[in-house]
Amino acid sequence: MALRLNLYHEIERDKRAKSRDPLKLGILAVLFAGAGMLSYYFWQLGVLRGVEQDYRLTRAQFEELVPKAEAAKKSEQEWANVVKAKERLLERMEERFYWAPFLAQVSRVVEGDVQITKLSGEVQAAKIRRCNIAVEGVAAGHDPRKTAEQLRVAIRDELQTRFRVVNATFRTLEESPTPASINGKIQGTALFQIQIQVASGEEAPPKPPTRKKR
Amino acid sequence: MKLGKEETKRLFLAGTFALAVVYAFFNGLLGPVLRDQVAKRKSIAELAPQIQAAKLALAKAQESEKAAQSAKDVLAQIAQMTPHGAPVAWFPPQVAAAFKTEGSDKALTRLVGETPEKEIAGYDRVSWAIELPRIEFFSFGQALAEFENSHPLLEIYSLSIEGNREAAETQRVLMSAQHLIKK
Repeated sequence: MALRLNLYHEIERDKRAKSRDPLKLGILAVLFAGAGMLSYYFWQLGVLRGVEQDYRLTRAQFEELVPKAEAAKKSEQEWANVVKAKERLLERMEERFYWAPFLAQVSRVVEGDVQITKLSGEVQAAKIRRCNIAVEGVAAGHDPRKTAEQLRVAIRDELQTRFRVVNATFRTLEESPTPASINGKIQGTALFQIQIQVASGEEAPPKPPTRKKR
Repeated sequence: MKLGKEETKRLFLAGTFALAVVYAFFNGLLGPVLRDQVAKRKSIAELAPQIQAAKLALAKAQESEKAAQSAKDVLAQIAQMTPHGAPVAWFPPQVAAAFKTEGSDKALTRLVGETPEKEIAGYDRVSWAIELPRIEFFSFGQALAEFENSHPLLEIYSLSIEGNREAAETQRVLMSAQHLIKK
């Protein structure tokens, strides 16, 4: 077995000791960590620049849009008023009570043995157009009361073709001592007053029932 | 490996320095950057719904503007239906012309009142009392139909037709009407 002598063992030991020097290793570790931290810092700085750019764009958009939206909201109120005025006007035009067709309907059912002496009516200003009309006149015939009744029913039936609600009732019906001559025949007469109520338009839908608290 | 006294001291100093550097890095360099990022992101998140709401409001306003434009056209057409000037100057002659029939007396039209219309801005509600002392029922009915159709903003609120005592074939008519007139 050959004998091997290391005459540099002291120099090598010093070298090994130097390479394991904790100070040197520490400095290397600190430098490495420092480089990593700086890289991370610059990366985050880049991210911040991006976020700042987004923020600037968002802010610019906000500053451009919000005043426009506020101005639009103010104008919207004016426009809403214009639309409301138009709707209200059209509503008024469409829902008004037309007297001419009403008079035509009434005159259509008045026979020769009836004379209308007065007709007066009033429309109530509401969503449901209710109209109260009083028709006064003289009915003649063998049975003048029956003639007046036939007129009342005829008026009611005729008006029901146009109006949603129709009521026709006698306010007064009494025989008159004054006879009338119809086609040369003297006949008895009756004075009548018929009260007519008609309604048109749509009623507001009923409110939904509220649940009682227990 | 055994550290000498001097080396331990140097290591302790290096460690302290490293800690100080780490603290300074996180507190003085990275900290403000991260805080700034969070603050900016928070601001963006706060602005986003406001921008969205503003966009919606603008879109809604555009729709309303379109509707208002068509409503304005309709209102302009309606406004053209009534002549300019004081109603009392032009309405009574219109009534007289409308109910002028053979054998009828002149229509008497009286201005009863004039109030601003509450529900429709820019319009006045003008009330009239109209008297037709002598008319013939059937020609009156025709004239009334034409009158109602040619005055869409007018509504007759009450009407009374009564036979004339002195001329049995004629009637006397009283009407009260309300007219919406643009100011």
